[in-house]
Amino acid sequence: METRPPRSRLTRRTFIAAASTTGTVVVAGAPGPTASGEEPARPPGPAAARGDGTTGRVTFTLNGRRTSLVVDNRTSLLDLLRERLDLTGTKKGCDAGACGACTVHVDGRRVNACLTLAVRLEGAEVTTIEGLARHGGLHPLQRAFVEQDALQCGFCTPGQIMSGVACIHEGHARSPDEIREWMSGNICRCGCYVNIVRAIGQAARGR
Amino acid sequence: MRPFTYTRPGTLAEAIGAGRRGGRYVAGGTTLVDLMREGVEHPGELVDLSGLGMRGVRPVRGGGLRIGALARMADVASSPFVTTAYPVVSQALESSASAQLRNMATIGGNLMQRPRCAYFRDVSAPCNRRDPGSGCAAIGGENRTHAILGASDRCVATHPSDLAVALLPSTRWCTSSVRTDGASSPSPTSCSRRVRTRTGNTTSGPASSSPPSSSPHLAGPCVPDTSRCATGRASSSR
Repeated sequence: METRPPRSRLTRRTFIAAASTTGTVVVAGAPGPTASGEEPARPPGPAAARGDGTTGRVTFTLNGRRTSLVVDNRTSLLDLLRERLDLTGTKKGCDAGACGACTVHVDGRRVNACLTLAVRLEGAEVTTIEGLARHGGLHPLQRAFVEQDALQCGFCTPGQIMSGVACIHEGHARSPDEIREWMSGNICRCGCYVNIVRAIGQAARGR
Repeated sequence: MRPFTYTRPGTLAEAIGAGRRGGRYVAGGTTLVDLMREGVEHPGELVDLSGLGMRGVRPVRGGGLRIGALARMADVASSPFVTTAYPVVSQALESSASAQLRNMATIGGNLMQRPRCAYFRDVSAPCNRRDPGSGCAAIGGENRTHAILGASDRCVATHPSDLAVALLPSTRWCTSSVRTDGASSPSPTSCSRRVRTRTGNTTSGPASSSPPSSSPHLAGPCVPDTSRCATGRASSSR
């Protein structure tokens, strides 16, 4: 499974961004670092990209691949994923830690990427929805979401699935009530909760 | 959000030094990052405490638990020491926020978090907590969920921590590890049944101005006292 689209591929995002800033459609590889750390090596510690210490280099593992890049200290993990690394599966909902659309795993724990400063991720292991499926097949919970029709618009789904995987791993998916309680950090405005709970229950039972 | 420099000290001494020169401590970051984005907080330097350890939960001789200030809420809630001897603490923690936030937020940060009053977060409104002396928009404003008892004429916000509520009636609690002035901390026995307002805020640096007193808050930006490095002690009440 392709987990990271080539940067030069035309997407809705790059099309809109290019058209809105230049008035013309420009499709080209965007400058900047890639997730595989193709920037020239720099010494560790705060980088001097702006010369005032408000940027820093951070090196971490993203979906199994070492990633090293210089970030503005203000950059959230969510914005880093979406705006620089083209990993747009992780969604921005409230941007305040309340909706769960941005849920990713950091060192195996589910967290809100919107409240995680990227510069703090030195040495961390980050998994996003793009890194969940391995070996070409869907993760059992992804499959369960399809089979249980656990989504409507789909915007919250990546966060629901990342949270659901952690919920099962934590041992908090032993009953529908328990799943509802431990999935309360993920909001679905379409109201697909019944089928989301069914999907998580199905995956937890290993079916 | 305004630009800021970032440091991640590896020792307590370095962290104290960074705090004394004006750095703002960040632990879980779940409140501070949000407040920085809203323009309520605008530190020039963030001091990341995540490299200091202090995440343990362990029983102490004579009864009680010693909980590291940087222990995450989720870890404390699920600790067998807590679930067996202090189930109310575990339940209070698991009633808080969401599983994601509990994986990030720390005990120190939870107890010392800033007010959740809507006016505190609205930079266009007066707020003595945010801007001492400016007034309190909650008094006479939308204050249905604010304090009735224990408030002052300067602030009526309640403390937002579920954990603090659980600790107060059933435990003797002391987080007397940090002081604004670097003086020695009060002894644990001197602060039974309440959380001292002189204790530290893991998400705040040195005070630029004094917060209002006589209000139901845990507040008081501070510098850690090395002799009792940022751990709390909860003991069974007798």
